[in-house]
Amino acid sequence: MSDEHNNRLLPFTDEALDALLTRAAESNMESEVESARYKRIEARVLNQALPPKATQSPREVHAASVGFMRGIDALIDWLSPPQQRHWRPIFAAACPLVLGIVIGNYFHFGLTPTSEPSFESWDDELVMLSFLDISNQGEITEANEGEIR
Amino acid sequence: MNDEELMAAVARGDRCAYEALVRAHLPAITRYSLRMLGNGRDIEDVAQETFLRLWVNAKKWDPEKAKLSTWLHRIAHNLCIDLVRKQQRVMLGGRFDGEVDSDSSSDSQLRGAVVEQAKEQPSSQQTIEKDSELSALNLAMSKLPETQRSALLLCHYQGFSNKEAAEIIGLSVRALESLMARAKRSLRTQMEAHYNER
Repeated sequence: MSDEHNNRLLPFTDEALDALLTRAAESNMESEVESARYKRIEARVLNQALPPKATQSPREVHAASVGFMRGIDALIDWLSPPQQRHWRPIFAAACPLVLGIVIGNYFHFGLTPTSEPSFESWDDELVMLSFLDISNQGEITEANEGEIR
Repeated sequence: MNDEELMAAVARGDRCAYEALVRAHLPAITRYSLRMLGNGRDIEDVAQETFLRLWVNAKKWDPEKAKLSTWLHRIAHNLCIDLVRKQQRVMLGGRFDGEVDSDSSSDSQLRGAVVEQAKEQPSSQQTIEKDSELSALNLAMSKLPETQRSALLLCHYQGFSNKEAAEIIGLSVRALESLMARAKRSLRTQMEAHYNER
């Protein structure tokens, strides 16, 4: 019994299987034998009746709309990545927030800070408002003093 | 011209570009179909239908998503799987005299049908192989379930990476690796049996 045969009685290893698969992939027997048949397949594929391409409607021809739709498609594709790119939708969702902060820092939309003194708490502010109220009432009282009498 | 330019031309209806693509990709598609289906007339139908779909759906191909060879193999793979399952249904229908619906039959019955089919219709490789090791490997391959067989064929014979093969079959890379491991385990068992018989 040959050594080769003895070796074959041992368990068939992964390496042996990979080597055999590689050898099988490299063997081009079928392509050599089947060349005549391959020619027939090629002729059949090349000569098959192909349907005419549909003519584009005027709407599709309009470059701007086509470009816009492609842009939308590309955006949707970009926002729904296949795997492991979940930062994209998160990034897209965070964009309006970041934009709002940036715009808010540059423009105040009439909400400019006043020269009035700022108060540390609402209590202080309410106390000051109450003083203002009393003084106004006093002025009115003095102005209408004659009428009241 | 590269595949992208040729496909753009095909999308516009350029028949010369179509012919160039057929000449570039038909050998690989034919080899894959031959190894999936055996030496039947079906491989001609698969090749013809694959390139018809290329012509019709040229606009839908996105070069950023998949290489053209991957896209074409996916089409061919789906056609092969449809044919294999149709043949299984026909065989089971014949065996049980049309009383058993293939969808309700067990996996073991389906597998048995595939094995019997492989024995009844030996592939061209099996008939011409002089090397008994390769013949045994081919026979063992033909006994594998079609998804395991296609995973091995795509990665070892057609030269695709695991990621590309997973895209073609429509699985995750991890599922493909698991499929390959099971396929190799099954092949190893069958090859050990082959050597022990000798």
